[in-house]
Amino acid sequence: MCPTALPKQIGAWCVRGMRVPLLASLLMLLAAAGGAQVPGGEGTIEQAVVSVQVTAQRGDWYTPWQRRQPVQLVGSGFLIGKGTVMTNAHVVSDARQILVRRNGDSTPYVAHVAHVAHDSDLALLRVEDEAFDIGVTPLRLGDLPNLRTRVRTYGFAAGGERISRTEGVVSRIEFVTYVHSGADAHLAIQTDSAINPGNSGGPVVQEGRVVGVAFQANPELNDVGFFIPTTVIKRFLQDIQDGRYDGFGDLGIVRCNLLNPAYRAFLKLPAGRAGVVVDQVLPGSSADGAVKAGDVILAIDGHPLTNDGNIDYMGHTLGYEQIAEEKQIDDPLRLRLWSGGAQKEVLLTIKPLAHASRMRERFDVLPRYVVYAGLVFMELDQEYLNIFGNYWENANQRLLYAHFFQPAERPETLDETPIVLTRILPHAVNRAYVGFANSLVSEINGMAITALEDIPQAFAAGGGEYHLIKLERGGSQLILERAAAAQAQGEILRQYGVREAKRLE
Amino acid sequence: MMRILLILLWASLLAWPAPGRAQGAETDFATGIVSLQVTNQGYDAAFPWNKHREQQIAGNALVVTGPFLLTAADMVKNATLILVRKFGAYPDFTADLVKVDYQLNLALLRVDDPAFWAGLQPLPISEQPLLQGRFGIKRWRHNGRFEQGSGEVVEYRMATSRFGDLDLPQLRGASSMSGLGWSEVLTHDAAAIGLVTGHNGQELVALTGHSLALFVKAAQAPQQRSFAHRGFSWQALNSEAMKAHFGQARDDPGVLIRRMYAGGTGHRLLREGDILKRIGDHDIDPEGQIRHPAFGTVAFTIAVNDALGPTINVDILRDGKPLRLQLQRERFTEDTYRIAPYEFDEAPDYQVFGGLVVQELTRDYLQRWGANWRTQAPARLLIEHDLASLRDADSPVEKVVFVSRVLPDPVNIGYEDLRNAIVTALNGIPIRDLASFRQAMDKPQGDFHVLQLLPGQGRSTVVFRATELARAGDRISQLYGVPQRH
Repeated sequence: MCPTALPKQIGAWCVRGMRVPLLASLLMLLAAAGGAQVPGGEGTIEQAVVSVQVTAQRGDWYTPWQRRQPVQLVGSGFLIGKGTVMTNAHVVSDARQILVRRNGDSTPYVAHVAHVAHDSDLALLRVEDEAFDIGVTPLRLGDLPNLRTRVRTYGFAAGGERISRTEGVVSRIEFVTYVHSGADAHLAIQTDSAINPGNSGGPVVQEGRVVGVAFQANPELNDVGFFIPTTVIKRFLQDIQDGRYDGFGDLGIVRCNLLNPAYRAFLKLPAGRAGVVVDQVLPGSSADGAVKAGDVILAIDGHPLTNDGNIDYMGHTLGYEQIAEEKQIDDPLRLRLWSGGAQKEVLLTIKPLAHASRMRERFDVLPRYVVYAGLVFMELDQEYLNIFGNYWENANQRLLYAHFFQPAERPETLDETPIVLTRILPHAVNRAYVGFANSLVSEINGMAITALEDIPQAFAAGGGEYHLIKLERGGSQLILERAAAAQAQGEILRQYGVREAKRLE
Repeated sequence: MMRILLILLWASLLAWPAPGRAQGAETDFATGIVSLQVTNQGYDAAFPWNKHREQQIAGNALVVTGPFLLTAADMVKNATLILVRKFGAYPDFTADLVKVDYQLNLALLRVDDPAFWAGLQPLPISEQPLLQGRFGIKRWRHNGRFEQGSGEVVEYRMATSRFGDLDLPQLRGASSMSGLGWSEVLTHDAAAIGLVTGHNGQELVALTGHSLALFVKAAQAPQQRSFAHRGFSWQALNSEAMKAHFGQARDDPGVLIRRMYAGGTGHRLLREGDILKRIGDHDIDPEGQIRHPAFGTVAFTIAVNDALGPTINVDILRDGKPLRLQLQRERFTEDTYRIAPYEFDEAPDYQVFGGLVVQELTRDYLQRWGANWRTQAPARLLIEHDLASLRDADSPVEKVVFVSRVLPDPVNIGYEDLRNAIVTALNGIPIRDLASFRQAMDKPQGDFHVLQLLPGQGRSTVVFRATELARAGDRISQLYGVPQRH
């Protein structure tokens, strides 16, 4: 089956613990750095594992000028350098305060997020207090573990006061959707080691080295947990070397297997050559201009592909996208193609996908919006659809089409952000339009709306007596008297507690 | 003991003996209503060469002048045998369809054996709605008992018909009777005022006597047109700013015409942007309501089917100028629909192409996902259904053609996972329906057939070698027991 941008299905969940009381006792320091502890030994590992207690507060995508109630959460983390803790992004997302404690140590240390990668669910915390990790040896990263080898997972499962350790076997290494963002798929390792709420961010260890970070599980399967492999972790650490996290690029290629002999013959692919056929190239992506639909990808950076898109990667059979996964933004990548009946090599430059951010869950940002005359305008993104709860498929079908299907069917619109009239704050000036919420906005005062920034400009445009708003929902029109709308604006903001009429940063 | 007594008392209230065994005015209803037992067997929308298991349902029909029997079309869809029984007693008689209107959800039956009609009396149908108060509910049970209960009018509202987008007045009522929804007859005084078509908890919905009477008239007079569709969508003009923008005073009547469909009343003469001010004899208020002599304040769409005349006059404002138009009362044709709202009594069409099952999308297919099909059916198909099941006036005739599944075979290796993918072209020819698909099958591109699907559905290109496809057709047909269509 070809990878598609279909909605994520319920079925996997992040391991994120509830807040529980922490033990008020000090962990005895067993050894100073380089002391009696055997590097990679049990004691060394457990010393380096911390609980991460977070107070988080998210924006509210239904009432975007407000924030939700703060919540408290507990996850795990581990030291990978002096004063540096690695954990999951979902543990520290939208954090207002982060406290870390070492196993058995009642002393909470204030930490802050140094770098966060929501697309790969990783974060680095910094703890300024030097006392935090005196005598602790940071853990070292290992490589991809082999299938059927044993691993140990450390963390504060269920937010417990004491570290827990579980063992399991590596059962599968493959690309999976990272639930935190909901829209990114990277390599992940499946294990039958128990990974429970609170384990998030804890290290998974093999032979004294960290081979992954525990991050999600699947409640539909018994005793199946997933951890982020060091290929992803090392890429993250490399990305932030310049002090900034740039994120993953994307080839921008939708590809399909070439298992069918007739399809291979149609493409005149010589016998003995294998690869996948390019189904679609997204405009503005890494592959745009260099690759076209119907090309066959034969090899990526020298790794030959099979007809179902796999390569041999360090002894593992993985999707060829793994090579692109390791690249940083602006890195080169070489593809060998079968194109138009001949072989050729193309060199791509890795770029991020322009519209990827609106397909993801959003963290550490507040929703953007514009309120005018009681009409609330927002961008159509995954967070907005989430206000429909677990049943966002119940949302207006036009919204679902614009979000999930339009990017593939009308890629020429990828750089346009669909804008939604999300709510109408009832007032005499807009009383006839309350039923038009959750509609896409196509035009205001003759100006096509393709970004939220267009809204204030469009209302300011033109000098007529009326504002004319055209919706996509069956071509409905909303008309406001310009003077009355301007007059009502302040009153509506006051009545509904809207502190700022817009947030566009 | 008390419980038994209560049940007996309740049963004695509901059960009414057949004529000849009891006296009194209530027996008139038992002579005007008969029981139906229908065997039906529909086709499986997802495996369209297969039929479902036959099933039997029981319900009611009203004796009307003719004499004929009137029942909900839902009762007789996919019928293979219709048996009717009078007075709850042997013998059964065979009934045949005189006219069925699935879009309206009514059917007229005839029984050729004169013995059936002996003792039966047509029950008058009241076109005058009972706007408030209690009504009777009458039905035969399959145990031969005639039950009478009652309900209370909650409201009349305009609703879209169950199978076909007709605007019809619908009675919503409340009743504690259970198991309703099988064409039970609602009565008031000595007349029928509706047929029950749906039931949920203590709420029932019914077609009104107004619709029943018009259908009976139309069915018995071939020159009479039947019910018509509204060929446009509209928007309320209930904002002063909107009214002023369109040059209307605050109290001026009228609604805004928005989208024109490819069929239905008004689709030829009305235009997007017209202001519809008056229909028939009724001024349309800015929210689309009229004062109807029988139904009171109700949506103006009732006027489309208020009478059986071939035309209806409307007053509009176009570009600020008043205009009177005579609209033909028109029905949607098959070409109006991109997605058929139902498919009864006949086998769905399909084409097996290299093991890919190609069909035209129908609502029946989506309803295979059960009671929650509106959220559970495949998302892209649902979007097509919800946003574009009706064709716009200026768009070409087309159906939604899709690959529902793949019957695995060596010829389609690599394509096995295709499901519910919309077809756009075959061999470079745009696909608008199964007929165009079959024509394109005869025009391979050299040695190959190239099928294009809407992007984002897994894969957008499928290729077969033409010679292999021909051989595979027989093989797949035999292996999976699928009759060939092409």
